[in-house]
Amino acid sequence: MTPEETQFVAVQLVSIGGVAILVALAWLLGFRGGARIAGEAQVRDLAQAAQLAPPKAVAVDVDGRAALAEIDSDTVFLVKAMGDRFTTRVFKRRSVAGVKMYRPKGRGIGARLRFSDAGFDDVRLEFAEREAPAFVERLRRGARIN
Amino acid sequence: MQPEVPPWVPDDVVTLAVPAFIVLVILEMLVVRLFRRGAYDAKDSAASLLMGFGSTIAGVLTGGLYVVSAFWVYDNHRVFDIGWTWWGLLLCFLAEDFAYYVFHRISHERRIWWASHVVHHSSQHYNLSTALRQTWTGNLALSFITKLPLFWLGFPPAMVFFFTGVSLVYQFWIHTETIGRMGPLEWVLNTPSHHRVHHATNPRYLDANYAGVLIIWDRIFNTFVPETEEEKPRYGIVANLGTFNPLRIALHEWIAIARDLRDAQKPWHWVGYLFGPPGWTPDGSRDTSQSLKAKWKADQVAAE
Repeated sequence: MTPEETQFVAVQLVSIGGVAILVALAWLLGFRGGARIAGEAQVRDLAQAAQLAPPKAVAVDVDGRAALAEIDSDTVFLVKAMGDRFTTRVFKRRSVAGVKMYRPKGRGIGARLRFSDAGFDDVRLEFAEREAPAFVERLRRGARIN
Repeated sequence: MQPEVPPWVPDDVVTLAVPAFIVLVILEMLVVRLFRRGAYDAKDSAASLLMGFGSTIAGVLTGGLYVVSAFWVYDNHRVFDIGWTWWGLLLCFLAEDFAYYVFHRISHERRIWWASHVVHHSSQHYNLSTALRQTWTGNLALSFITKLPLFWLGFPPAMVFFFTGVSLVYQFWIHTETIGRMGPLEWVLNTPSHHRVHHATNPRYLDANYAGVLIIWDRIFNTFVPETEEEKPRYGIVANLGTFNPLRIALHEWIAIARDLRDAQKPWHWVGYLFGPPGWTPDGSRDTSQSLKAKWKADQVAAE
């Protein structure tokens, strides 16, 4: 390797080491996120803050990591915990690329939602009940939500 | 041929500053923990820092585009021969800072450049790690075009690159909530307060304070908005991301543009989707900064 290449590699190693140290320190100092949706009322408040119509139905993940609200036959409102913050987004039905149901261990049922928006990871909603809320099930079938 | 570079000019100012970046982030975390001013989140910081790391790799892979363009303009088309004199340095600093203002402004006002720059705004936090959340695609989007006139004027490429580095290093420390106002310096310099406004999504703060080092450009071109006590900035982007995945952060807006182009009904829609403001659609069905500001102003009037 040339001296320039050696220096470049050294700088990258210092940088990646720095990243690891800083993330570890953030974790040790207690910056561990943990935002959780308290319940349906909080989702309704967030929908109101987003100037949406009152949700017709709300489905909240049993651990409060995410929630989905039915706004109208073509619109859902998603709330997702992102570290210590929440991200909210309004999705049209066509933007819901897929809904897959699964049986999580010790829980009733789970729904994994995939969106066509590349700025969103898949979202998992798990419920204590054996059946998912009706509007989530309709979303899975690709039908109108209500 | 550009004039000989003086020995006091470092090869890469930003690389030299990396250890200082690390130390300052550690100090800020401690201040946030002890005095509860500002906020950190480990996952958010990890994403920001990985974006910063990736941007250095991307810079090596794509920076040649900028360097080749700079030398081509300088070697073939320069108007003056500006050397490493005190007045040359002063003029270059001012010209580079103004070029940064123009670059930064079009990066917010034109979607094709916003697609790269959105990365830097995609954290809901505002701390020193956010400063390092940088694009991977800026050179590919030719974000450097606003710098090319400097080489045409005759500023040596090494001088421009030096001041670009100085500007980047300067802008690092202003990404913090731990510093309030800075007195008379607020008139001339870009400060943490001014830049908090720039990162805010509150309608009153949208599309403001594009400065690099000197805030005077915003004051001259009427894009300056002061931070107010009654409205605390909410950080991030209008539609915040639901991911900490660096690849998604880097590419999500490019993917959205590609989908819009695929679904465009008429050829001129392509122009709007690429060079219109972020949020532009043929039918106006999405919000732009301007429409959000207009709604906010209408609400203000209605409330009075």
